[in-house]
Amino acid sequence: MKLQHLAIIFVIIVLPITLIMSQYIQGQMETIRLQASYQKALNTATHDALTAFQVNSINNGYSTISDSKIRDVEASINTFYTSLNTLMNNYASDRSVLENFIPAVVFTLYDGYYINSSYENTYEEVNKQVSINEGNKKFQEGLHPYIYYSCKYNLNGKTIIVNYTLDNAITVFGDFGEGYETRSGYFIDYKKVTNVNEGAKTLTYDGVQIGPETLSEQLLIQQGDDAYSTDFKLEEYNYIIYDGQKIYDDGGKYFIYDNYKKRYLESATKDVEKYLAEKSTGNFESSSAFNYYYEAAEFSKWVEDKLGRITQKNVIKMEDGITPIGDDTEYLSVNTGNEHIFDISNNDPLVYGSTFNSHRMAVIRKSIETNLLTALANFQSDLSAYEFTLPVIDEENWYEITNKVSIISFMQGLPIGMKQFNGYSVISNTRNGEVIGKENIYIITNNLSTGEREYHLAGCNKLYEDSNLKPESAYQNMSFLRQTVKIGEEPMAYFYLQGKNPIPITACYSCVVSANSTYPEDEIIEGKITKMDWKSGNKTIIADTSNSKFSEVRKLYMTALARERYDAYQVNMESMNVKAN
Amino acid sequence: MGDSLITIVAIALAAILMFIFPLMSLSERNDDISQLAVQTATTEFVDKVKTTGKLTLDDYQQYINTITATGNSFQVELQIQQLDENPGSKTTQAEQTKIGENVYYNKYTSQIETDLAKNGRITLKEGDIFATTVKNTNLTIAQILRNFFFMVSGNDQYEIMGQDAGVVAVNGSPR
Repeated sequence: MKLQHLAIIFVIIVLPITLIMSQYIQGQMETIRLQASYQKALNTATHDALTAFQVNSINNGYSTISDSKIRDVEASINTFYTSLNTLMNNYASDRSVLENFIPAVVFTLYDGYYINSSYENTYEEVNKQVSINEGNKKFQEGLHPYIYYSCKYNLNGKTIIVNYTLDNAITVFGDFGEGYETRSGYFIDYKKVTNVNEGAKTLTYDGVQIGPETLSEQLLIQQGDDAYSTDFKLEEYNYIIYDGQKIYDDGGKYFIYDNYKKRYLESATKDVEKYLAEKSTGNFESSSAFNYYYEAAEFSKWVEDKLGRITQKNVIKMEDGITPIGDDTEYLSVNTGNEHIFDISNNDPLVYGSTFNSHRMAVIRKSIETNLLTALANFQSDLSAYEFTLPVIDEENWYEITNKVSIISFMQGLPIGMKQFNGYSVISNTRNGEVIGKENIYIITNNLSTGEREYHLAGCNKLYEDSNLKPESAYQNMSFLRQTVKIGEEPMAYFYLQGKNPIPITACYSCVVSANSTYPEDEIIEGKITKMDWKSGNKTIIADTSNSKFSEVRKLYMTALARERYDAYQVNMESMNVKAN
Repeated sequence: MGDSLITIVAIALAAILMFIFPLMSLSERNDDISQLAVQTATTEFVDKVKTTGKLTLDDYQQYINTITATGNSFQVELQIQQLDENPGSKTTQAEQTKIGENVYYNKYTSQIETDLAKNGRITLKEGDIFATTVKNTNLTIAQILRNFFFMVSGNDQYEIMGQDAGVVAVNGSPR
């Protein structure tokens, strides 16, 4: 054969191979490119949804009422779909197409969670009658009923239910020998509460003196009677929280901030005075921090007395609701062995690594996993034959989910060239009205040399290094967000609740702005801050309670954390503390 | 005489057709794959920073390992833009009808690498912007061949590049 023939045969063989290979690689590349871009779209859409929830819950004064919360969640889901579709270059003509690939969106809130997924809703109508035919089930996308972070325990043959939350508040249901009881409260180390003076509303918690405090913030008040007036004035008032509402003191007259005006209390003034006399010192001061520790100590004592012997062996399986897990150490993600969950010896519920907290996170995780598995397995898609399953979620993501308000979204079965997309996204958030996390408390300092005021995270380095900074007060992070005054649809003016007119309180550059150089809040609660050498893991103590500056900051922090948690909406817990007859 | 000239031309053509052409095509594909791997790794890296709110030395090392596994050397540029709302709040406090501007402070590769070496991690907050750009610094086979045949001048042109950026969605936890 001639050389030319060989060359032609070579070309005939090699050319198709090259062409097919290049086509295949192009296809693979397109697949991976789409996968990355859809994952990004999912992350961004989830973030947008959470931002929408944050904005709605901050500006909705009624967001704690369940109906109103459903509205906020549904609005947030709408945002999720709109944002997702836009980010995917208008992949779908409308939301219902996308719904086929989103098997679940989970909203984890303070004491429970919503799953948005498909559920069977209606049966078909045949001859003007409902045809109950399993084959004709109609599926519809929507919110499943709210699920509490609850766990059942078998204690001496009786079933007890404990509802957990994202912090240390719990609700206990059960029969402890005197009929069914329901009690709610914050679970703390009650042995740390000492020197209680009920009259003066003071006590000591772990060496920190807790007492009444004066709270103040500034408001932008619309002047005159005209609802469309653009004349605003910034004024500072003291406030307390009564019945979930801020009541301001205007020289002995009380008012609430309503539609940018002062609405003075008429007959309710007596109720406020009664509340101040009972729950505080009688003066216009907040004793919420005292009440928090005082009530929590009483509740915790009761919990330890009734539930103190419970270990993880008493946990009843969520799948069947009958069998205790016993010696199954794999059932929960954290194995706490024989440690007593509600016994507070060496188990401070406020601290991250405590048995109570580890168990709480494990139970919340199990509850979400169990319900998500079901939701995903039952998911019906008209457009995809994909087998929807729960992917493995990172440990780090679980930490976020069990400690902060978050949204978990799943997208599966979407064709992306050579395979089908399977991804999830977890986004969490600390700026919302739902939960007061440990990192939500800001400390306000006054710089003694310049007179400037700054707000810091409680673990900020600068607080302990700069001797000019004098810690003054502490509030939760929502008080430092910009508030918008709207008249009609137009934003008219803006202001900050925390500020000293005319100078604002600015964010500290070492902790809030650069988000770096901070000590963990847990260390402040435990009473000593350490610097960790990240290579060796060795910790050197920077300051402990013998340091006066640290003690000062810790006092503000512990007081503010208690006060803000007590004043958050869920704390009308007393009304829940009932005993069945 | 004429025959042998044609034979030489034919051999040269055959060499180009049978050897150089497939080699070029293969090396180009190879670069495409590297490009894809680098872009994917960059997106994953940036996404992780965005959704966890922190940049750790571990993640950074892993990212560098992934991209260098393509057999090329790279120049990585990192950038953190830290959101500062203070100027805005000062404006609002002085005049209620104005929002004022937010400012971003930038940190670049060398500062970030120093911080990472010192603390092992950098914590970011919601609203910060994180960006990564990576370019190859070596000449890939495809680049050499192309320079040789097409006389493309300039050796500093990069062939493989990954780029991603985004707004951080969560506040990172301090430890």
